[in-house]
Amino acid sequence: MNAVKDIFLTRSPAQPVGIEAGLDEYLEPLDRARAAHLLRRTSLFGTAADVSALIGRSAGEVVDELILNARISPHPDDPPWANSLPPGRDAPASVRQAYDSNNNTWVKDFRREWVGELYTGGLREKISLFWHDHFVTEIRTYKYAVFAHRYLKLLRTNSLQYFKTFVRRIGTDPSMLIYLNGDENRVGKPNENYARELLELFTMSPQDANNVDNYTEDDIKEISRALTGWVISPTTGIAVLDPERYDSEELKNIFGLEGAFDYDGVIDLIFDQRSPAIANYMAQKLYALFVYDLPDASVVAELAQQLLDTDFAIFSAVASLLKSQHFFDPTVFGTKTKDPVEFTFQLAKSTGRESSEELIEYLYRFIPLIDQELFNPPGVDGWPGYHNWISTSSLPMRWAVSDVILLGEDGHMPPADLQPMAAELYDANDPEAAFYLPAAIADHLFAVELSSIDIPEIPEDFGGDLISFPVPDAILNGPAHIRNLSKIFLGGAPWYEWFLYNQGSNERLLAYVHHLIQYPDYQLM
Amino acid sequence: MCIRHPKNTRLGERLADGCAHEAHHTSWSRRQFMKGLGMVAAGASVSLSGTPVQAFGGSSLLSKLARLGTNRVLVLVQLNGGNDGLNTLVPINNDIYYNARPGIAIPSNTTLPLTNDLGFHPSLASLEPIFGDGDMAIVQGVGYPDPNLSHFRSTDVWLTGDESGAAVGTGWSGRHLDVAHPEFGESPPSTPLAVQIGNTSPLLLQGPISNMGMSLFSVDLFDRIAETGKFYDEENIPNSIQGDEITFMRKVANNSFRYASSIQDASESGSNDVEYPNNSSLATHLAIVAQLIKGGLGTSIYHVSIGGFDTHANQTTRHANLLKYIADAVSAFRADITATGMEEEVLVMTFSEFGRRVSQNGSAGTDHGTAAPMFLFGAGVNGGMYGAQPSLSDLDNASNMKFSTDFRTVYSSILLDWFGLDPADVTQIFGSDFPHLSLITSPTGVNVEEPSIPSTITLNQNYPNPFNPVTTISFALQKSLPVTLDVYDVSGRLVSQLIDSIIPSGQHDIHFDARQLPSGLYIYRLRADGQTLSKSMTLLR
Repeated sequence: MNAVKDIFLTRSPAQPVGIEAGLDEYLEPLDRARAAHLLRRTSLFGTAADVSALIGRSAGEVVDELILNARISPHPDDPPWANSLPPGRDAPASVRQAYDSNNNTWVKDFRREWVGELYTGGLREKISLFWHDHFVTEIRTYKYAVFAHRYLKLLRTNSLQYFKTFVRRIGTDPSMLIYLNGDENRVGKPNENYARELLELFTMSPQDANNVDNYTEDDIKEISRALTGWVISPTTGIAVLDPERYDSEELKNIFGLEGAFDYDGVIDLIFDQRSPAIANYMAQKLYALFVYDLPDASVVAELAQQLLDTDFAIFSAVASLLKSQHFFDPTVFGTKTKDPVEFTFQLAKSTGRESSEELIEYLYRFIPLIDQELFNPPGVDGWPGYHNWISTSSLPMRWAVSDVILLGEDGHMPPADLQPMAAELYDANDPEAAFYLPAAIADHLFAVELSSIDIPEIPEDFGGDLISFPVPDAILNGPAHIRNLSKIFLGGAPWYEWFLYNQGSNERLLAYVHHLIQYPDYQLM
Repeated sequence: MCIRHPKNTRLGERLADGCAHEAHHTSWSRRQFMKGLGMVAAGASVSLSGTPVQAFGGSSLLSKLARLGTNRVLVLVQLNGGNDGLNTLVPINNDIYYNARPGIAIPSNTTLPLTNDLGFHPSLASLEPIFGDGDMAIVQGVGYPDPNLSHFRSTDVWLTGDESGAAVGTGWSGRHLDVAHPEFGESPPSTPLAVQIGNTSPLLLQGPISNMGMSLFSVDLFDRIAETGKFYDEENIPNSIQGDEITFMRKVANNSFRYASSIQDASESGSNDVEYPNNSSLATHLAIVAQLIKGGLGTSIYHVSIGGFDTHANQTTRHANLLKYIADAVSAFRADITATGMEEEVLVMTFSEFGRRVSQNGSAGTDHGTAAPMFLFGAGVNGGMYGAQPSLSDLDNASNMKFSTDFRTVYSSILLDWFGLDPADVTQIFGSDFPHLSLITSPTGVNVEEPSIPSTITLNQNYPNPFNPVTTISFALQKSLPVTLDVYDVSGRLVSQLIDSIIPSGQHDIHFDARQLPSGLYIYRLRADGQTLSKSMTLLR
């Protein structure tokens, strides 16, 4: 499925990051570029003031704070329908129809609510979305909002805890039992669906770092037997083991070991027997989440070792990675393709939009348009991600969507107010602000080097009376991109007439930011 | 000064208005470009009948097709999830089949008999007349050696034609060596070489964006694309991973503009002559394909897909519905194409990543299996049965059928006979030769406008292979050329550059010492004279 595009698209061979810096802690105080990098990669970015607040602080301190907040901040309240379980099959049709109709509303409400949480929830919500993409379930299969709620709660609770516990819990989550047919897997009539994905996608992948097979087809069959018997209690909506359905007849032979393995036994066995493979696979995934889609072998190996040493403590691995010299090396800046949530949310946040009902409604409607519908990844391997986000179909749609996020719509949402951003980024009282503010704004919005963006050379001179108000030499003979950005920003207006608090200045800022976000380079973070 | 002045106008409304310009447009007319932008502005360039349409250029196979100038079209229909071949093409006299599937076997008296031993699932009724007309070929028992039962690995195998599946790791890191194609860098065609209809996630919500404008930059940028057909610089980009990512983004952006107007033109001038069933997205997508073909888009390959074939539980009704969607959609598509008299030019082929287990599982479904039939449709098809139904008793050690026809046999036969590709090119694409099936009635590509560029370089399989730790890679040049020879691992990482210099004509043997490398599959790639050749080799220690 990923390869669909690969057979069509031309591209040069991809390279991992390839820098010396490893997981040693980055000890310099954060500068603006690094502070912005940390927020882009962990918290769906923030305002110019959010970035400023981190400048000068130590990476270790800031990352510890981010992770601590993600681990202890209270979860949103349960929705009122959280325990309204679906009626049984023998309930009257009218009851079932009424429930389904309510359920449709609840699914939409809950999806919208998650969009709202993602906008303000920082690292915990972002990493919960990552786990949704890892331990995939699709609501088009399991259908019920009550199960979606339990699933997301489980993701949030475990997102920065211990991976082994997480694996143990996800397999008996109702949405997962339904999605991968665990609830149909019973003695004498095994269903391999969950066992296969447990190994292939959720824990270790088919092969280890040396291309040695991690398991055989027989292992999958035997694990399926061990996982038999789990069903969802119709009265509590919680998974319970039905002894009648559990395969206790014969010993199971898994990874060459014989035993009366049951559900917990399988989880223990997987972690006993395949820890290095699991650590390697999960280190790669965490690396791809925060650093770059192509793994750097030595950093991944270091991170994997740390997972092994800490009993698979996710928080500890994430902390090391985010504090590392590798993470803060400028080589990795601007190398990740923004996913739909990142693209839309970062635009809104970096331009200072606060969470509002209208904004959340737009984001909720927009992200599926650019291929990411929450609770409905396209398949059990999640969203294909990386370059698959960007196509001749999705990129123009991203442009269309970003127009509304920035400019609003008459009668629905006002345009973004960019004056606070501008004031934060450059001294509004500097008479030469018109020359330097545009580059500062671009620098805030772009993760890639400004000098590498394909900014056009503007041959026309600056506008106005340049005899009385000459353009400073530092601009005329300085870096071309700073000069050209300033010309684009001014649009022919005299530089000496620009003042941040003049009437119409927000419109000019909007036009300028609107120009900037259409550069293809803006899709990177 | 020609930069748009925003003031109080709606942003994006006044595209470059009032600005004088005098550019000469060689490859792109301004009108054409304006039109393209208009479409992008409406979100329609990429969305026909609310369905996303993706356009692709590049790739070695596609570039070869482009050079052939063929007017023949291949429509690939991918059945995602692993279609149950045994319940599609039912072995109606086979007791093993009926015993292994007591709850889900298709009763023989309900099937539509095709031969003494095989019958269609009843949902495939609308395909029966096509088979009867001799316009449908069925290749039985298609698979590949050492089958992989992972959806993802196996899909990769089918899509890349590489049985190792090694080219792709997990989804997020999946990428493989593809080569740069200089012939497209300078003068990209305005018609996409391949088009994919539909998308991974459904467009459940239509946002209020149809009336949104998209503004366009300064006139300088505008003239630049008008003159060069290029919008963003794809060449002068820093040599870094950031640069690699920027390059990718710019290529897609440029392609979005480049293909917008040709797709729009085709969709405006093409129309559907029959009513398509409204029961599936596949029908909608095939209707768009027909519209674009009839509108003269000139694209060689279309790719559509339909999901839901991963029938682990209670499969009977679901599988019947899925088969009906396919049959009805394909049959409408065929009628539509025939109505315009283009039936000789269009070939439809179905495929799925694998079949399913002979025995049903405990949930009235089937787990992942192996070999399954492929269907081909079209007036140019040599109708009938090909290959052999695999035995239901002689199974592999995972209780799955053993395939009888390699899928690359089908692929390579189509490339040879339908598209008229050179046998040497076909061999290169698949790494070796496969048996030939006469699936096409009138072989050879028609309307060959330009001969394929004769190869001035050849690259041979390394010897020995597998090797430990030294092997010899040989290649030959017809003239003296600047050459690079690189070795990559399967994740695309450059592990060694063996040559980067001007090499005289003749045969050359290069020794490669892999003492420092772990066991595994490696790919070596030779680039010279605008061509790129690659082969794989295996280090076993």
